Amino acid sequence: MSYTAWAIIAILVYTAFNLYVGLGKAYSKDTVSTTRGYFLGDGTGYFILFFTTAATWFSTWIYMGAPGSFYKNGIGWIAGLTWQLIIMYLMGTFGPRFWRLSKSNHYITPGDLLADYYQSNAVRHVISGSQLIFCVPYLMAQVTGVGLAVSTLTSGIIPFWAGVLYAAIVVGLYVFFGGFKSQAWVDTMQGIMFVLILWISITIMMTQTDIPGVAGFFSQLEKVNAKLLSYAHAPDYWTWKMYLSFFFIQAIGGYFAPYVWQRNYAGRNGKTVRKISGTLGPFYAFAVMLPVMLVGFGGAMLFPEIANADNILVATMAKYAPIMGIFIVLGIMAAGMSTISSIVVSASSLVTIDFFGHKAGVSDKHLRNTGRITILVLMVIAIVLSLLKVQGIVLLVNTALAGFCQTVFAVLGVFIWERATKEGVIVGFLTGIITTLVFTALKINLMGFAPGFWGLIFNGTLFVGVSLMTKPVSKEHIEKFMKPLTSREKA
Amino acid sequence: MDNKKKRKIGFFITVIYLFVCLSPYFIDGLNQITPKVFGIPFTVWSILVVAAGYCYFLYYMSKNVWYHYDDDDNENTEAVKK
Repeated sequence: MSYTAWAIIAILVYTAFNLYVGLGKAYSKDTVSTTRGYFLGDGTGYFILFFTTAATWFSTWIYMGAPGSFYKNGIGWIAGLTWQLIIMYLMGTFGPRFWRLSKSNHYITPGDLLADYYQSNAVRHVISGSQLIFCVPYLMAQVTGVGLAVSTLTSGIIPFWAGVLYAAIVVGLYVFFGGFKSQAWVDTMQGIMFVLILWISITIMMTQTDIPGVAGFFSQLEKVNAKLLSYAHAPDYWTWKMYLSFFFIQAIGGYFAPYVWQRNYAGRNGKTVRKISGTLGPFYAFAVMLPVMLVGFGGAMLFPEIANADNILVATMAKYAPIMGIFIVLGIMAAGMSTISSIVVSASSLVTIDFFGHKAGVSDKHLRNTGRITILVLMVIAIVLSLLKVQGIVLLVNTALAGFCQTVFAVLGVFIWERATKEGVIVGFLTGIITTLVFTALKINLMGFAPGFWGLIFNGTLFVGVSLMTKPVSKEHIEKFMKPLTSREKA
Repeated sequence: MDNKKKRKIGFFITVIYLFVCLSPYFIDGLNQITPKVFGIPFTVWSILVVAAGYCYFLYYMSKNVWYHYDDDDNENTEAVKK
């Protein structure tokens, strides 16, 4: 049987397994009968929450962009590993509080919490609207990635457009019917799968060195390109300033992305969320990013002059273990589809709850149905954007995390700085977003720092300045809002 | 030591972690291949050790410092007492 035939069989088996888990094992009619159950599940336990959080966060980037970044920038790009741990620090600090407030006050979206604290639907609309603007292009990028993966794997027998339709329809099916719960279960299966494939790949790479094993791997890398092991490898771009910028942008954006934030709401209890914050860090750093780094370095060793470093993993497997190429592409599909499903559920909740849900007289069932329709609409938009290859949308994809991280001051205002006001939040947030987009579009890395970093600086400055000039949230309201937390802290 | 103080110390440890991560850019002695451990260059194993240490810190915080805010709050009460 030919390679392509095997590839098509592998895709069919993978698809069947996704649908079996999503529509069979994980589907619960009772859970999806309410809006909260549809968007957040029925209290997700530790194991599923662990893997759905990881699978949501890691996209096709870990197979394509991230190894290529190590290939190009050397060990300095270890920032890609170290910033992951800050996401867990933020989750430990805020996660259980988010969970408690969501449980007590029935929050579904980040906008619910912020609007309630600041007593402002303007805060809700500005933040949710911006999050949506960044979610949709990111969704499109993942759909495009899976479409390309399917097309490549089948040597074009399944064309790109059909690959795009495949990704949207398969994910759309289990998400439409099963909502968050189905998506979280499938994520778990996909997360385990793409991490295992990553480790098998690096094991194969290591056997291709002159002296097998870790010592041989690094010894050969040193001979081929010792500069990769130095922090000054890419002084023109990847400097300590970029490291610092990305450390903030990726870590803060990675935690305050709505689809990660809502996983705090989805936990079975506060202990589950807290346990995740204490244990997911090693998984991010050592189970995912460590092999990604080794793949990048291995690629630099085996293909010192490759034209497109982002394809290093695919190129290596094509040369040394062709059959493994099938699994690499399945890994890319799993990483992409797990992110697509999370984003689409989250984005649907933003539209449904933040733009329709808070209006009086809307029934729970009507909202749930609106959520389902929104999922279909978002999938159609993702398909159209992927197929049309709209110019300029790349800007939004590249700045998604920098956009998500602008929410941080609104959250600090809730938990740390009581003097914060809704006007400060809105002015700071919008300035941060606009700065990030303009600087990115014009390729301005002012003083060597990334655009999103400047977005944070301007955002923070205006947040504080405007807040000091406007009327803060009343003490009585803060006390009432915080009661679910303070009553338990002092018990 | 009360929990609030522990959380403040936790924040400072995080700031220190950031500086340690960036330090090879400023201290030449930390930006070199030797000494190797099991053949792994210093620039690689040293940052992995730092990351492992921070992972332990996160685990400690989740066990002893951060609240869970569950209805069953015995553990919270004990954490406050500490």
